Parts: sequence; C-alpha cells; structure tokens
Amino acid sequence: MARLGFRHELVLHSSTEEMLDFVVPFAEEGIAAGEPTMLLVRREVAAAVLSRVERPSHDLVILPVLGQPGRGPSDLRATVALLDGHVGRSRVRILNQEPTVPEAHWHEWRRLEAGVNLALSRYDAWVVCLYDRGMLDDEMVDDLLATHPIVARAGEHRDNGHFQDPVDFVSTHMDAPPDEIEATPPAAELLDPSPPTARAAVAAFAIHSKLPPQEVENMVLATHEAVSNARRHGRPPVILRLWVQPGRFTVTVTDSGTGPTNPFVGLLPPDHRNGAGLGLWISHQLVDVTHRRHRDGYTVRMTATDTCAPDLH
Amino acid sequence: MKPLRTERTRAGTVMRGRFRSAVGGRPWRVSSPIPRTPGDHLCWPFRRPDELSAAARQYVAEGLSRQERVAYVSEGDCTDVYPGLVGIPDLDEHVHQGRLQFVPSDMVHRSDTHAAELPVLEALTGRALEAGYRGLRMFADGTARAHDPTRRAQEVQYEHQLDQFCCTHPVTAFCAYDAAALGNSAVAELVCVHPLANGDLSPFQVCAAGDAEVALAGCVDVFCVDQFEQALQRTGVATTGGTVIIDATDLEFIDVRGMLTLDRYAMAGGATIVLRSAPSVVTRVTELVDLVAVRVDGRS
Repeated sequence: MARLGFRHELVLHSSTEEMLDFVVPFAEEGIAAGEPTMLLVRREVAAAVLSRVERPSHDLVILPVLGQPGRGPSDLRATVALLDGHVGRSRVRILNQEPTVPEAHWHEWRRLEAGVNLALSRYDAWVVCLYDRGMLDDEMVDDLLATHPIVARAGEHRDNGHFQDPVDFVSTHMDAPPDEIEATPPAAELLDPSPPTARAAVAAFAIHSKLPPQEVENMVLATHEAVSNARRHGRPPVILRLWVQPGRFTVTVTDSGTGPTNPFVGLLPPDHRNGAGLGLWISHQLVDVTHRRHRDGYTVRMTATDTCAPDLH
Repeated sequence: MKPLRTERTRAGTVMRGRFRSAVGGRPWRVSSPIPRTPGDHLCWPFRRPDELSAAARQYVAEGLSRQERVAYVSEGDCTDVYPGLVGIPDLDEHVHQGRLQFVPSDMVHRSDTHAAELPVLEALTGRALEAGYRGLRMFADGTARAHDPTRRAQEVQYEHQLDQFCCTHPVTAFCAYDAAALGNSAVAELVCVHPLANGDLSPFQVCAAGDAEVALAGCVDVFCVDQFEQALQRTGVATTGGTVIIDATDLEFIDVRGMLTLDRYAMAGGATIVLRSAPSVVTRVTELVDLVAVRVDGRS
C-alpha cells in the first residue's frame, strides 16, 4: 500500500453541526479506505457520530479525549502509542476533539501543535485537530494556522499558506509571560540549591497546598530535573522560588544562561533514552511547564494543580 | 568453635538494627563512633589525626567495656598507633590480657589477592569467641590501601566482603580513611559500600543485606550515577544474572538517569533487578521511562 505520509489538519468549527459535517465524512472515508480511524471525542459527539455513520466497522474506534492543557508531552506520548500500535498496516486516521485551553497554557499548547509536525512526521497518519472557534481568540487562531499545514474549509482539505516552519515558529515563541503569582513574594527562595535541598523544600512547602500526594511527587521530580539541568547546563546563580496556594503549587527555577537550544525541549523525547533533554521531557509529563527567556536568563516555571486528569485509556 | 551468628534483628527489610544513631532521619548516617553493636560496619572519613584518635578511643573503649575483643589493625609498628589510644583506662592491662590486640594490616589485607581475608577474619572471630569474648571489634585505618586507584577498587571489594561478614558474625568494624590525603571523591568510593557512615561524602549506600543481594539507601541522581555504577560493579551486584533483589527500603530517591543506569547495568549482566520496598516516588520514576531489566515492588 502506498505511503501517504503525515497530515496534520486543523478544523475550526462554530457549531456541533459544522463539526459533525467534518467528522462523519472523515470517519466514513476512513472506513471505506480500510484505514484504522480513531476518534478521540467527547461522549455526546461520539454518540452523534455513531448514529450517523452508515456502515460502522471495527476500523472505527471511539476513544476518550486526550488533551490535558499543560501536559502536552503526555498527549503526544499517548498518540505515538496509538500510532505504534498500527505501524505497517495502512494509514491511520486520528481525530482529536481539542479541549478548551486556558490562556495560561496556550504558550505550551501552541508549542505542542508545532512539535507534532516533527514528532509524528515518520508516521503514515492523518491527524486532525478539532477546535471550537468560539473558545479561541484571534491570536490563538493565528497560532493554530501557523502550526497546521492543512486546514479544512467548506468540506475540503486545503494547504495552509499561513503554516510556518515549526522550528522557526517555536524559536520565536519562547516567551511565555510570567504568571501573576510570580509578581508576588514567594513562600521560599533558595539560592543555588542542591537537588536534594530543592526536593526537600518542595516536599515541605507542598504540604500547605493540600495537593494530592501524587501531584506533590510529580512536582518533587520535576523540580529535581529543573534544578539538576540548571546546575549542569545553566549558569549560576540558580534561583528556586516557590509559591503555595490552596490547590496550586508553583515553582520557578531561574539561571543566568540562555536556556536549552532545542526549541522542542521537553516536548519531544530525547534522541536516545538517556540523551539530552530527558529531564525536561520527564518534567513536562508530570506538571505544567513553561519556558521563558528574559533579560536575566532563563526561567522554567512548573505548576501543579489539584485537577483530576482524564482517564486516557 | 564455629563463630556464633549474631542475634541482630533486621528492622523491616533493611538493616541490622544498626541505625540507632541516625542523623537527620537517614539511618546510615551517624555522627558518633558509639554506640556500636555487633554487626555494625562504620566508615569514618577524617581530616585530622586528632579527630581520628578521639573517635578511635571512644570506639575501642566501648568494645573493651562490653567484653568484645578489639583488633586494632595497623599498617606499621603498633607503637605508631598506641599514642592515639592513650587515655583509655587500663590500656596496658587490656593489651597485656589480650583484650586489645594489634593486628598487622598485612595479615588481613594481602596485596595480591583478597581471597584469604575472610578466613583470617573468620579465625580471629572464632578465637575471640573461644576465649569467651562476645565478639570481635575491628578498627582499621585503610588510607594507605586507598591511594592507588587499583588498590582502592580492591579495597572497596574487601569492604563489601567485610560488610557481608558483619551481617552474619558478631563482628563490629570501624573503617577510617583520611579524606585530606585521599580527597573526598576517592573516599566517597569507599564510604558508599558501608551501611553506616560519618559525614555525607556519598549520597547513597550499597551494602550487604540478609534477605536481598544488597540494600540501596540514600539518593542516586545524575550527579553520582558514575559512582553508583562503579559501586555496583565493585560489589558484584547482579553479575550472575537471573532475578536479583535490591532492598530499597531506605532508598530515598533515584532519578531517571539513576534508574536508566541501573537498567543498563542489569541488562549488561543479563539480570533482572527488583527494587523491593521502594518508596512511591521511585515507583513513579519507573512509570516515566521504559525500563527493560528493572522493576519496582513498592512498599505495601
């Protein structure tokens, strides 16, 4: 079977009907072509699709939605797992009904969308990202157009002239703004902490956030990786700051260096299992991470919140 | 007479009841040379001779007061070390009565091989018990054997053998190393194979355990993975393949690089390593990377 390559398509819809006008033909064409077609959609959409698809087949699989804003690498890892399960057969179709992405997560989200073009390029796959236009502002739409080489319009799948080279796009967007909390006095500030000291500080202060133990562990691990990276690759001084709020725990690690050179650091797995970027890739799977280059150096901000992650499987 | 096995109880799965002097919640870290009981195997890095003498006097005096025979392992003439023990009550009498013996280092440390060391220790222990002592308390300054990297590697192997010996015999061991002469890094190679240590030169400990191949305590991270792998090699962990249990009850933390190092090490030896009773944070780490030859049995 001829290899069709990787397609990353954006669908912006303004109503459920408009969405189904895309999803149902997408599924039916996949079935007709004998292509495994996985729809990661919310329950009500799944029901509507199944009621309209004329000839359901075992090639059509409905799965729970991915899309945890702030946990992009986990989503990417789950998508890779789905694709790996079908390697060597025919093209695979995956349609993601995307979540509402809070503004605070948007910088990482668009980095994910850009990174998908590289991370999945080796797969024979057609990945569709389905967004509710009403939940996006114009800048968000611009970012999505810059990160999807194909856009659905009026029932057609068109090349997108606004698409930008993913590396160029991300390289010019390492500017996640500080969180409001960062303007307030931190609960603790540590100068050049060793990783054990950083872990101990996080564990001690996290108690006051009343986060679930697993979220605290995630933050301990993520902080360890950030501090280790700063000490190994950054420039001193390394400053750890932490803020505690009920149900929310924020840690920043700043060093005087310029930060990672790889624009997709943390988003894509390292080239080999113990390679550069492993630490941040791990961190991104554990907590919400943003990267910021600024006049004084480089800051990685990690946030743990008391949110129940959706069951991916 | 066959040496009596020690009556030490092993609290939980790790260690020996050796941890009464725990510092900062880390049972392997001690700040005082006493109290020590049979089964204890203590590493004592020092930087000044008077530091060592003070610790030696406490350690030796305690052994004498507890009816243990004290073997003072010395590199040279016994008179070299004698002044360091001055102040112990009735010192000459203890020496005269054989309660305190000076043992030449060559007797327990052969330069060509370490194969003969444990029988010597076995004999020393047996003779102490036959003479009515409660056990053997050893003191040794191993600095001279740790300058050369090759000899240091042998010394680490010896220390692990001694550790295993202490687990099963009524023997207490105090191993001193001069950090000013050897450097912290070299001493850390030795510290990390002791179940008890003064100071914090090594962030982790690999030591003998009764119901596991070894016990791993402390923290392993990207900054010490090379030393960790070296310690695994020198102590011979998992070199025979098969499924190998490492007691992780006192493992505080291991990061992803540490776990990958352990995984690679296990694969190279054709072994599967099980980290038993590991804390939940260690289990969490294993969920983040694909491990081939390491699995974790978390704490119940």
